[in-house]
Amino acid sequence: MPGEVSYYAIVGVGRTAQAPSGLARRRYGGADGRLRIDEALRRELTWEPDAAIVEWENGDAGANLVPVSEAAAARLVAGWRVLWDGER
Amino acid sequence: MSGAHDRWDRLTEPTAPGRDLPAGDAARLPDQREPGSMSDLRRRLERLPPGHPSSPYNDDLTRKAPVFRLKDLELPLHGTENGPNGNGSRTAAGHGHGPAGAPAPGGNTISEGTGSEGTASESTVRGNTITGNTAGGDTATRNAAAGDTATRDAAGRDTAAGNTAPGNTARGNTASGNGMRGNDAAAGRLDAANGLAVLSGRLGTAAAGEQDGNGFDRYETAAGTYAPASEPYETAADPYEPAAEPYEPAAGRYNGATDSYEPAAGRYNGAADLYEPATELYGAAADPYDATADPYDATADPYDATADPYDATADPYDATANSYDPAGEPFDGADDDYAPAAHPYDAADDDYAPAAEAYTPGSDPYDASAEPHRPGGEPFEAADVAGHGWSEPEPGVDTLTQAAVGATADDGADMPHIGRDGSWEWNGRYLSAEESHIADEALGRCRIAEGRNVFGGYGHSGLTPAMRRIEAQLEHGNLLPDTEDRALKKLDGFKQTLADLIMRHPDKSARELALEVPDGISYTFIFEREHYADATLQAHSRLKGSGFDLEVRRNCWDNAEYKGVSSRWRDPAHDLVFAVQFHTAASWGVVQRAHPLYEAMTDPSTPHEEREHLRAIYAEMSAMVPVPPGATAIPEYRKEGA
Repeated sequence: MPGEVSYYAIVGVGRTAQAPSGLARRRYGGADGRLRIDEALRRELTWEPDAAIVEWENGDAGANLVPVSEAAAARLVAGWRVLWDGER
Repeated sequence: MSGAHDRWDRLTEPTAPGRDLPAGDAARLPDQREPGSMSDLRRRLERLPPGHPSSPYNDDLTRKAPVFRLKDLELPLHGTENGPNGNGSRTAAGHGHGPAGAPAPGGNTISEGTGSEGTASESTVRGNTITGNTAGGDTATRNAAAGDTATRDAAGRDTAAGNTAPGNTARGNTASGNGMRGNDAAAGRLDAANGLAVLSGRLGTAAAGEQDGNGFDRYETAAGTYAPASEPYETAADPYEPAAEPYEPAAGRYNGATDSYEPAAGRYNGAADLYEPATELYGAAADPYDATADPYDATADPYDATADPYDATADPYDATANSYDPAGEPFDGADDDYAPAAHPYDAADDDYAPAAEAYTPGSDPYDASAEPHRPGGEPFEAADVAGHGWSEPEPGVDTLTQAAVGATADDGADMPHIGRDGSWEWNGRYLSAEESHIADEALGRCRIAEGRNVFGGYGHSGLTPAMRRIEAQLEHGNLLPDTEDRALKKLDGFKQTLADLIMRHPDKSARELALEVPDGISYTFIFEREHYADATLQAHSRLKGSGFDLEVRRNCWDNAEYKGVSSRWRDPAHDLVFAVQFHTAASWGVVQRAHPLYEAMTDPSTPHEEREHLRAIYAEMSAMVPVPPGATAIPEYRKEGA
């Protein structure tokens, strides 16, 4: 588990896992490797602490979180990089 | 469990009517239809979920009585179709099957139609019955729905006929053709408001019991006028209202003068009613909240023995304590400042009162010592609690600009900071001026949809009255007694949620996200444990029958932390989403107690180690909640694209 990273597409209303509106990830750290470190991607393409996964695990009825592979997550980030850089 | 799933599947497939069409109906539905044609319309109506106001099927899948055709109910023109005596002698062409149309001997009104109902002859409608209705008013209408009671009404109104203007006869005439019980009762209302006799036949049908008010109360509430088309809930929830009459002033739930909710006066008297089951539960030997057996008692409290948040004295269900005492919600205090703005006309907003009280050390579930705990993890400063703020400014300090005032306020308790440019900041969240304005607008839409009027009370329209009507239809369980105070999210809570969404949905605009805040309006049902699964199903049925669309259902009974079912619905009339939770008293109790934990858990600034610790405590609390039978079988659901 230490070093493992899980990625989740944040699927808002009208979106799909292939075209989500955000991306979250859970890393594991701490001395025993069991400390959950939850983050979400910001528009600046940085990973910042975020509670999206915790809220989803606790029954939040908002956006859906869909597990995606690391490769899929990388593709999403690359796509947004192009999109958002063009807007800046 | 397949049976249970079948029931839920039937509910959650909006395009599937959930029953087979009768053979005759199927035969009438060809495969190819011209769009907009009558057959196309009929086919679309058939696809509506049973119980929908426009569906031809009732909740129980029985077919509704046919709707009267307007042309059969229209009024005669002056000078036409008069009887021998010059008064209206038009025989009604309604659905009564009796010898309708006999001229009234007195020349007053006309038809004497015996209806299709077996007892309709008892309530034979004469013209003077109709005219007498002007004095009938509310009682007549309600009684009409009660069936045999309506008969007595009809007789009573017969005696009142002399009071009525002659012009009413024509209207009564038309209505009477239906010859059904309650026809007359309903017509009285309509008489009083320019006699929309066209409707009376339908009302009569409602009284006959089959439709039982589908459209009935709509007209009643409108006091003789058509209910606005933009208030679909009146119609939607009406079918059950006549029997329950949750808004009957005489029942005491609503203050007749102000139309405001009076929990102490009616069925929600204090905490006694709703929490009686909880009392039993907690009073049992296995009671997880029994003070003597409290697993969270002082000696076991991992936080602070002197400030045990689970102490019986702080129990929100404690009969001696004020349920949902704001003092028990320590982080709610900052909302106080926004209460006047949010409810400018509501004098009842006193419960938002003293911010200082909300931050008194004793109210903090984390620590009763003088170190209250912010969601962000940092302890409150002494100045946060008292003595802050509004002292004389230092010489030279600008006291006129908004920034100066805001800075002073921010020095105090956990209050939002409004920037000079209109930006908003609170608990580490930030909204630009434009985003803050978007949040204001979005919450404004929620406020309108929720239904509270400018006087702080409720009428018939809006989500909260609709939910109360749904509650009245349930065999088991209730909404929270203080639903009216909780339904609409506080402004700063809304902005905080929006700020989180903006950060985690970078590919969506703030305007889009403002409409996706799932709990801008929210409701919570509490069911007894033994009835939980069925009651949740029934509530879903009623919600759908009221025209709301289920978008998301999350079953969290297997969760370690939050336990219950949460759901998101769409109100098509306002195109807004709202949240509904389904709990037992025990699970809701834990949700309430753990709220500060949850706030801290979901605060991005909470250190990861502390978050893990908080989650462990939350899980420990939730482990004590008994899982209702069948609850884990309630399927999850997410509408495509939702």
